Amino acid sequence: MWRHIIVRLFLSPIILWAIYTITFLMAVTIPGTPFSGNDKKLNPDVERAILAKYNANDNWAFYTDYLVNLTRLDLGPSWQYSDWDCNEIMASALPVSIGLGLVAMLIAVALGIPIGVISAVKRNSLFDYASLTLALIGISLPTFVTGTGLLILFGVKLHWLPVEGWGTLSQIWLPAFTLSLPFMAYITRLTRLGILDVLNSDYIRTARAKGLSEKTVIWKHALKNAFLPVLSYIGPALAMALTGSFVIESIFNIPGLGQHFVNAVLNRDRALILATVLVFSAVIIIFNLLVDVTYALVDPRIEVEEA
Amino acid sequence: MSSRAIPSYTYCDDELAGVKVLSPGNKAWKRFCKNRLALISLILFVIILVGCVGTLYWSSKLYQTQQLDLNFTGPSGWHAPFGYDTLGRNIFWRCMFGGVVSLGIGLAAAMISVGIGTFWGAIAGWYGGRIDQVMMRLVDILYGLPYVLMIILLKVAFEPMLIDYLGPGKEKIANIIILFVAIGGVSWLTMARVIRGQVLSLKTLPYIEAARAIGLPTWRILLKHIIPNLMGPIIVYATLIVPQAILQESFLSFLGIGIQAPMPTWGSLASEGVKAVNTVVSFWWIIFFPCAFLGLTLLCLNFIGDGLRDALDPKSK
Repeated sequence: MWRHIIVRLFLSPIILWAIYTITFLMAVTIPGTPFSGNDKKLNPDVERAILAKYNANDNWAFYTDYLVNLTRLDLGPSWQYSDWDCNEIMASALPVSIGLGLVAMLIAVALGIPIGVISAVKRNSLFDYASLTLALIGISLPTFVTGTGLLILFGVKLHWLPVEGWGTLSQIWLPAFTLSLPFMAYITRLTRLGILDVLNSDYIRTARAKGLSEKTVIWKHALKNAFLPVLSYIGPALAMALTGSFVIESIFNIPGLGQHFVNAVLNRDRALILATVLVFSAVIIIFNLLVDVTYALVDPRIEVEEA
Repeated sequence: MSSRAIPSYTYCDDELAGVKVLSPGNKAWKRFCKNRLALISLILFVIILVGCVGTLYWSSKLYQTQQLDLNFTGPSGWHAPFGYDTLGRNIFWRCMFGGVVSLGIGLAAAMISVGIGTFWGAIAGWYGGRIDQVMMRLVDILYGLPYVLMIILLKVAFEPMLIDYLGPGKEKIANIIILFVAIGGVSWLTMARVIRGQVLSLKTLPYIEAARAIGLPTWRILLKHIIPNLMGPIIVYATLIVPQAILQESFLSFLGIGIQAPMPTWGSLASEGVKAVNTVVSFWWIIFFPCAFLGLTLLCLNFIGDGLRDALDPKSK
């Protein structure tokens, strides 16, 4: 497992390079630049100077220069926001998106696992059906609908939580909870299935026969095995939570990366498009590696499956 | 499928003994019907599907008819059971037409991902070795990509090209095709992994060895002997891709880069509804009906997918 992780670590720059190339090819096919001037035509000399400054007229030069700068972790100047550097934009927006994604995953795990365990233990009870309903709502309604619903209920009608914005602790609950709903739904179902699978196995019977309390049997012995599928789901789920926050950010007016990316594409801001995709991919790769490490720590038996 | 491999006397014996022999497909169908939730979902889904497709003739004409004096009118009688939207358009007809578009997107995405995923997974699994390594690493890389970003990029990058190619006046078609391809193009990865795993285990079986021994070409073995045996997982994952694709389209619509107005989808109708929400007056029907259709359909598809997985699993009895 550790060898596998080290190989992955060495592979990640190559993967990032591949992602860079794919994104670059797509970004180049988007016609237009932010410099052509929408309202008035620029003086041809000025336009040429600007294009030269940003390397915008020579795709190959842009590709290589940007790649060289990347090795110094320099994401280059934004094409649209002339006062900003992509590094600055990332530094201000990335923590917001990551924070939102992480809190959402924490909520999803912290609520999803206990709910899943209880539904498995008391299966076909009222609690089981209630949690199934909740899970189904989480899976089958888009987050902009559930988000608006929660916002109206808790923000407007009950005045418990602020309706929008970012910066204080109370402002994070609504968007994070909304974002966590689909993941919570999935984790609940995974946990429930996992527990149901192991409840009839021999080692659980042994644990009961030893006279362990039901609490220990379920929460310590059964959950430990049922947790593995959940863990392997968390890696890809984190990636989805990060990109899924786009919609949430726009509902709750949160200054995260999502809005920047959509605007970058619409503005044909090539540097910012590349920067956003690369930063996102890097974060996803790092999180996936962390999940692998956790996997190795939780279950020392796990060998790398022959890929 | 494999019925030819079964020696015929088993049939005779069973029939002589008065036992009705069921084909594997019949058995799976029986198992599926025992799953009450899946069966109800299937019936409901067929009703929604037939309703949307059957009214296409009228809804395609009426979905953008505006009656400005009726805007924000609530549900009223036979003419407008779901009321009118912010621009005075009949929400019932918009839901019906949007349903066709949404389901079409889901179906197209499923077909594209079945096509690419099966091809990719079958080739990788069959040849194994270095080819498999390279192909599966590529899948890993694409798995790591932020797919929402990719859909947005694909759509913005290739839509103008396609409009150029198709000529003027075909913007609507280009818009839809690009949506199909972008959503389908990012959802084939799971399919490829599943198919590869199945092919890896199938190709060691004696009947494949026999097929190879009589000198069948590879493409024929894959097409005639391997892929028919993978129909179970293919159908299950295709069913599960449809709701995902519909949801993804709704996110794109919400961000303003989905289907072009005035063409509706359930997702775009729901996001229009969300945008019409305000704290003073409640126009609940604008948001409720599209969401009800969207949610109900996705629920049904998820249940059907789960039911199919249980029914088609050869291990289950």
